[in-house]
Amino acid sequence: MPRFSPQVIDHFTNPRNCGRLPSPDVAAFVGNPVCGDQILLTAHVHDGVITDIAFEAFGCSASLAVASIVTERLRGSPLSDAAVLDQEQVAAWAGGLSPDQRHVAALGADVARRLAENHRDGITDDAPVAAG
Amino acid sequence: MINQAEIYLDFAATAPLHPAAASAVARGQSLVGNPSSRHEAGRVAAEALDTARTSVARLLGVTPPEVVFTSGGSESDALALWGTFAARRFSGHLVTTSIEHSAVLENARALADFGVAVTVIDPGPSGHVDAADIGAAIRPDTVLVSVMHANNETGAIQPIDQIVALTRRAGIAMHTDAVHTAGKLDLGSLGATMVSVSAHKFGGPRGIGALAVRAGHRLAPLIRGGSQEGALRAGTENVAAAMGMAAAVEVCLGRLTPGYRRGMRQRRRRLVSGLQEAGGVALNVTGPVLDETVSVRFEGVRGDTLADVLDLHGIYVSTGSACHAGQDSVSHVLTAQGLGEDAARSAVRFSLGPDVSGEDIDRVVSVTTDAVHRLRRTAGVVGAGR
Repeated sequence: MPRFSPQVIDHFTNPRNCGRLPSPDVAAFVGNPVCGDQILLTAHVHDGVITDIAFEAFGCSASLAVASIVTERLRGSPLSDAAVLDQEQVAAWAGGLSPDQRHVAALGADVARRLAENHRDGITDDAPVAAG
Repeated sequence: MINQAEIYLDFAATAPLHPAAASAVARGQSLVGNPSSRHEAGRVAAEALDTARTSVARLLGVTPPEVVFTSGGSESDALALWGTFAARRFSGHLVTTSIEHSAVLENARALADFGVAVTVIDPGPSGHVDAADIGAAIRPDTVLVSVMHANNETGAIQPIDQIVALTRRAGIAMHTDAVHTAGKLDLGSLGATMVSVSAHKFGGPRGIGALAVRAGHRLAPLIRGGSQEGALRAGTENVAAAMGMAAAVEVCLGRLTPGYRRGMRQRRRRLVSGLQEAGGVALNVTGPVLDETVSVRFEGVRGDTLADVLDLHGIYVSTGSACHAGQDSVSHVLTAQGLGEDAARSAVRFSLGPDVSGEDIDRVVSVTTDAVHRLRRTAGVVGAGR
């Protein structure tokens, strides 16, 4: 029985938008202080739309996949979508997560919302902030 | 899925059932008698059990009556610890180490709740306990020293001969959990008072193990209600499983030759030197180590994530740490020998078996190296310094 959904396996084995953008307009860096999963998002924003986005991530397989999924979904979306992203939406994008993987959906939603907040507040994270 | 040509490198978790053991189990299942019954069918079953016991005794270097069949390594460890202290009304002192399997450590903690004094000795950075530290911990009221033969996560072979000598001089009992080395290293000359083994680790069936208990050591049973197993474990014996275990023992004893060991060492060297090409690779044990167990850590990579990549390629390995539900479980063995949490999280255990070929190892090296490089790229600055 597979541990991961096809979507998670796809993004885990073929991550999209991996890396760091040069001169990003905004960066968000969120980590789970307990298990150590961390996601760094960098993005270019034009007229309130995320025109480019990339991630670097360290953590369990599902967290790497979720980082990739979130960037794919948010690229071309209004930043306001990131501002209201919740873990249920991330879990759905990931094709469903088992109970022991649900924390990565929260991490993915947290880092997306943080991206929107940082852009609004003119903040760029240079160290991970705690998820949640 | 990427590629399902499977390579099993998790022999330390469980070994495939050897065909000889499978045949023996099937023969045993056809025996209808209870070994305790007086009639012919019972006598046939009893003889089969005796024959199996003789093989296991040969593995353990004891006489057949000194072999107690159990359900596996965990029960053997529990019987050794609880049995020893229950026979002494939970008084006295136990010396053990912080790298024991939880089947020993959890029982040691529980015994402490019952009033047993417990001293836990840490290993050095090499993964080995210093026999002198064990000696220094022995007190006038020490009853038992329990130190594993080789660690199941790292393969670090502990100085059992030195510790046995210490305990003999002190006149106290010595238990060693040899679950990780049974069928791989000679146990016949260990000299410990009690030795735990589990059949499924060396090609026998799951659900059976043994505890060698030297004559004269006072032990109380965990399971009462019958005189089976020298009155140390009540219950109708699992004859078929014992026969399967004995068959696996014979296979292992037959191949425990210098040539076999050299072959395993060559496999280990091929794997280790190949993995080191990835850069930022460190062995978790320096010094005496079971060749079958290759415990390494990859700088900037999570071991559980790497194991998942290998899993998707049909390569099966283990980690000592894992992320579950956002909670962390970090290897108590690796942290006990002084590794930080990030380093402990970066460890992977490749455990070799007799059927692993050089070509298998080369493919494992190739897939692992590619995966390590990709995971490091994915982590970027986030994984730096880990």
